[in-house]
Amino acid sequence: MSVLPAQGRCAFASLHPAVSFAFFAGVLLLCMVLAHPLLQIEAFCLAALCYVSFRGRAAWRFVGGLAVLLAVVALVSPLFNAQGETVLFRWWAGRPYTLEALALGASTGLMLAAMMLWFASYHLVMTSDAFTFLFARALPGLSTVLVMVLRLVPTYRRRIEKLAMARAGIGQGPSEGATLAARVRSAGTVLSALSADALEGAIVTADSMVARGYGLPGRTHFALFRWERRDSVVLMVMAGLLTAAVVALVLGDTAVRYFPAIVVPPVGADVLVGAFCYGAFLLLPTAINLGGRLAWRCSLSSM
Amino acid sequence: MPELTFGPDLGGAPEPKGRPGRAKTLATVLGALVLTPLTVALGMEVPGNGYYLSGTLIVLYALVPFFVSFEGRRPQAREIAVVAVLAALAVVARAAFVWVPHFKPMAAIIMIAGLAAGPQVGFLVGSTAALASNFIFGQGPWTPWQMLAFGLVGLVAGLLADARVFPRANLTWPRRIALAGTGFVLIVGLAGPLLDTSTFFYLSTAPTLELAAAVYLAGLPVNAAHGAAVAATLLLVANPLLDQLNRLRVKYGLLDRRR
Repeated sequence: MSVLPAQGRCAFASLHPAVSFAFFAGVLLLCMVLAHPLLQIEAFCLAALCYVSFRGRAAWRFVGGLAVLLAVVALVSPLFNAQGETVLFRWWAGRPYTLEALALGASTGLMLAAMMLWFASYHLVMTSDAFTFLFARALPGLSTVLVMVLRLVPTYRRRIEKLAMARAGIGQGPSEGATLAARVRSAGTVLSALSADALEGAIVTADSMVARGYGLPGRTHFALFRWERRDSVVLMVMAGLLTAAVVALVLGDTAVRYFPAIVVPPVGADVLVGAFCYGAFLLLPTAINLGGRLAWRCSLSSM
Repeated sequence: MPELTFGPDLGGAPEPKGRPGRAKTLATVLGALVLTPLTVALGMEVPGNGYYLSGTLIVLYALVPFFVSFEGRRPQAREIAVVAVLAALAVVARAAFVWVPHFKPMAAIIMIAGLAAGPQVGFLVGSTAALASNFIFGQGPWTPWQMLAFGLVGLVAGLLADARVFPRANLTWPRRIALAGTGFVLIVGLAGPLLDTSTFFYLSTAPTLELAAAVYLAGLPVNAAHGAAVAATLLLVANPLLDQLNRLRVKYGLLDRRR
């Protein structure tokens, strides 16, 4: 589950879910499509910055782990790709390990790491209540299912612990040095005990829902989210930056070729403008978070 | 008082209400069929990781018809609750096996749901269980792929029950072993490779045969362990759980699809 950090630090998470969902959809799409190294490095750095602005110091471990992943993907990918003309060395049975494949691997790794970072921020912002709120109108039945599942899972987990403890108490649990088969069998017993109770509970829950008027027309539901003026402003800024970035990058030449030799087109003014707008777009959540934190600090000192 | 003993009318949507739902479902299926080749063509044109992008879009097109058809049926509270409980059981099953390392029994519960309630509910339980477990363990580029993979496992189990390969409850020993074998095959042959394909796609800015071979071969032992866990779970809990679901069918008239 999402662990939202201290008050004020995550101002971006307090925006309307439609805005934050649109932001992440746009970011992930562009992240996958833009393959120019300049843009990829930009996206990775800003993604890390954004995640750090959400999590603070706790974020660095994850970012470090992703740097390792990036290095592994880059170093390993030439093993599976022998194209390219600059041979660095030859390994197993004279297979070439080429600079071009290494560069492409680095590009793939950067893209993957940036995507993971954006997904990590997404996970913090798009909590289950925000997600189900967004899809409640289009998919009312399914979002009810999702809400119920997310509520039942912790309950069932606690119940499993209780069942296992009770079985251990009457000497039926797996002993210390029990074999794998015995452990699996014991867990199966716990699981079927849980399911018997859970399925009966499903009927009770459903009847209770119906008794309280589930599915009747004209019912409204409570939601924490309201569309405010700042949501319109952020959405407009987002759309403007995104359009500018896409137009500039489509006009400019960003097609990088890796094989047989690396060809990076010269960075023209249009690509620079595109990269600037893209960067500003990616910086939005970080800026909003920092602004929120600043406002929080100021409010504290004036009290 | 029959109204009280049987509860509110939960026998499914009446005919005229079902029509627009069906039309919508057909529209989404047609849309998916039209959009898929377009997306493949687009993926070839786009720079960067077009493979992952178009692959994921196609996965989403495959999910939409199931969701729209579920909504089109106007699911009643009892159906929603049973789907939710089955999906939650699938997600939480792992916690019961906490003492067995790397044991993933989720697909077994999904298959049992499919066997008892048919392909559509099987798919729903699978995909919502995958989505919900990602809300708990972390979303990633794999989320839609997991939803499709586990949904398909439930769907296939439901189709097997519809084809009367497996009965809906009271499996004999040979049938239970056959079911466990089916579970293993479904994981190693369908769900596992589908998840490996997503790994392959997000590693493949320039896919090569060697990379594909490496990804699928590296996935094989993981999938085999996963499949074995599913098979063991099916052997153990298929009969008790199917009996419990059968009880729901007999006592409450739920999950009762006229064949």
